[in-house]
Amino acid sequence: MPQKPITEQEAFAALQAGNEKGLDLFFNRYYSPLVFYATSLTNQKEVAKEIVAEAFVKLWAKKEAIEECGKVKPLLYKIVHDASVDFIREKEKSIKRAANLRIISNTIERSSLDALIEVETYNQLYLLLQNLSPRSRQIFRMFYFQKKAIKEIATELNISVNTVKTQKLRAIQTLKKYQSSLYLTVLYSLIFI
Amino acid sequence: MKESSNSHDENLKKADRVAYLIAGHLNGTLTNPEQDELDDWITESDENLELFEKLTDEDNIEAGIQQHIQMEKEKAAELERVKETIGIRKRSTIKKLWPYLVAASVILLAASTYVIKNNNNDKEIEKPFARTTKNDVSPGSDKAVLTLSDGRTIILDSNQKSLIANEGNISIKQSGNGEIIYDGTDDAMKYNVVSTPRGGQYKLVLGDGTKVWLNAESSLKFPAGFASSERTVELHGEGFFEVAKNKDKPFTVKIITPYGDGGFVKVLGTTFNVNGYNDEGSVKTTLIEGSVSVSKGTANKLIRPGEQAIVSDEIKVAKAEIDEETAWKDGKFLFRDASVYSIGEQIKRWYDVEVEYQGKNVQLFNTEANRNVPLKELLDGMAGTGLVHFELEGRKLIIKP
Repeated sequence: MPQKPITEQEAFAALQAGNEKGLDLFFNRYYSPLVFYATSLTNQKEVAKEIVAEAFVKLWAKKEAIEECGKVKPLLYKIVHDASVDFIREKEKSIKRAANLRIISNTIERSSLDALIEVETYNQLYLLLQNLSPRSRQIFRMFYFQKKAIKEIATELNISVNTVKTQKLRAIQTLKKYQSSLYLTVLYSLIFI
Repeated sequence: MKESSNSHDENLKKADRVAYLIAGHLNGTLTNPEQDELDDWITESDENLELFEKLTDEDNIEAGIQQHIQMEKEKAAELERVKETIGIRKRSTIKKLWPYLVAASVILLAASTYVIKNNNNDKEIEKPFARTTKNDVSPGSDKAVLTLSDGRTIILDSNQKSLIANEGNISIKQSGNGEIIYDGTDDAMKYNVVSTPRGGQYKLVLGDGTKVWLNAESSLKFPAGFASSERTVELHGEGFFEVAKNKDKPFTVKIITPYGDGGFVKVLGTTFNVNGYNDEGSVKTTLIEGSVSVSKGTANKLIRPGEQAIVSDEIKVAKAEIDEETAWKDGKFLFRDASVYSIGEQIKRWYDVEVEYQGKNVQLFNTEANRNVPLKELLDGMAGTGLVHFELEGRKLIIKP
């Protein structure tokens, strides 16, 4: 299936026009990191999934009021953040332990930023890895994440040292290209005909 | 108090930038100035250093990426659910979206863990349950009663390790760890019954090699040797079956509920769990592998691994939560979004206590615990949320909001 690149701008226009393809694009781009984020905050994946699904329902309801394309992502994160905090507060309230409440509340903001950094880091790594062939992805993981030596990788995969080097180089080139494209906020939709 | 929108946007930008630097560092794609920028951020505070170390840990990276892969798989179904709620999709069989506030009222056990985790310096965590309770109740254990075909009864407990009886040419032995084994063949169909009391469980190896785990307050009637062309057993309560394969002799479980006939489960060789306690007026058969046919009266359905047949007046087939249904067999309690009533029923049978419900108990709980813990320990976690209260007097447990 050929990938048809659609810019976030086009997706935004579709969203505002009430075209569900616009929703598809934003959903595909942000669903996983948002669930990851809400899970970090609430500690509960099932709750996180509900919160995120609800956030997209809200996005749809508010679509005409969004000023520009660049506001979609912050809006989604904001809705999910607030809903997660509401959930935690609701939980605190029911736990009814005044003495402990303050301490929890103080940790929310710090952990919210940490959670954002965490989700963005792993999301970027995930997206980058998706752009590699399975073989270079494997080599890449072994080299950068597991910190294995090139020789060690070559022995383990039963390939030559040169092949490992070439694959690694190719992976880096792909990643550099991809990383710069991230800044152009290009979305690749995988689900279109 | 919520943050202002601006500070949230700033957080997001900051997070994006730091994430870009850390991801780039891991990938080896950072330029020198970018590396310096990252170093500055790391040395800015102990928290930053700690976070950096956490995010670059090999196991955490793997888990983070795996979690993304998992969510990518669930994405399509979730998008359908959202569209259905919005109204751009016709209603389908897909689970409707709950407003998250409903989810918010679903208070989970993790709530108490959360409090404790974030309050290392707080030494005065109250245990509401402990406060209202004077005694405790120990958990159930391996015990059962065997009734032989001539009416003699033998008390089974896990300490015995010996030949305990013979039925014709069949020897009945105990292995010493809560298990009774039938060995040998005999043409006469002599029926035996193994019954567990409340607070008891037992494992059987039948004459054909089929293994059966019997949960508390359950019983199994079976022939000592399967001489006829069919293998038929009768179950009250709950049993987990690993049926020995024999395509010439189908294996049938006849289920008897407190309300009478609970239908049949017919198999050739497979693994499944049958829950006929009938608390909710139905018999639940959960298939782990192979295939089974479930019937009641003239109705008949074939279920596949991972599915559950719920038999009442009709037979419904749904996706099963296998680990939840079979946790008991592995010595665990596993509750997901479980009402206090369904939790109470399991407590009643395993701890052999009477359970009384007071008030309106609407909360749902998620919890996992070993079945060998004293009752108080099991309840403390749930009581810690403050959403449910327990009072235990002797062997009577009162549950109220």
